[in-house]
Amino acid sequence: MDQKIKIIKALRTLKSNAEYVITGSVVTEEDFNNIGWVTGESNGIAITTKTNPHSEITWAAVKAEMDKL
Amino acid sequence: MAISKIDISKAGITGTLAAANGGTGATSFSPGKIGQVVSTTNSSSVSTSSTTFVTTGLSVTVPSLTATSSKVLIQVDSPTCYEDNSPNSYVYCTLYANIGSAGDTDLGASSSKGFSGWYESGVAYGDLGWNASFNFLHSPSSTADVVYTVYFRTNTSSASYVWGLEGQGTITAMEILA
Repeated sequence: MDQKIKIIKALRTLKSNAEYVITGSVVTEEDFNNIGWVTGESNGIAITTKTNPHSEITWAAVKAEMDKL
Repeated sequence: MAISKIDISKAGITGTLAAANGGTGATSFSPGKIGQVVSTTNSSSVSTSSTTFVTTGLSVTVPSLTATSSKVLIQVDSPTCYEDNSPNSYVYCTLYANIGSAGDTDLGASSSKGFSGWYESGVAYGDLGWNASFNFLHSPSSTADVVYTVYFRTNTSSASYVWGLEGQGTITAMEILA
């Protein structure tokens, strides 16, 4: 399965309503730390932060879910 | 009834053909012209569950329009995209224009539902691929550079979409002179 599919399935499993933006694939912890988490909007465009606000979504948990796929 | 045919290329016929005789009545012809054509392809991938628009990274710049009366025809074809199992969800695709670096303006529907997209009902299914293509005729009313960028979003954060699972997207802009 494509890595781009694995990451969104893993995130949906861990927290189905988390809003994020991912450029490219997430393969490493460094990639995970570059996920943009949506915190609001301006002029209809999402505002994101690299600071993960979702305690349920950790790299360890995401990798474990991705490894199941 | 006998029918006579005239080969106008040999007869040297000139002048105006009146409307009553099947012509337009026009004494001159001023066709529209293409001022410039610019196009960009992009094979990068963006995944989101955002309910507000995020950039796809697919963008094109139309430099220095010829006149304020010029229009710009924008054509967009997405790469192969992907939807995770997200019943009863929409993805909306739109265009933002930035005229003379004055800020981004959504050219899509005022409801923030864009130009094109995808809908999945509650029917049971696995995973889906989708594609978005649309055209838009823009009147910037400016001679400044215009940057057009494709954005997309979902209607519910429980849905997940990938723009650019495979392949490449294309955006083409043509300046139409008045």
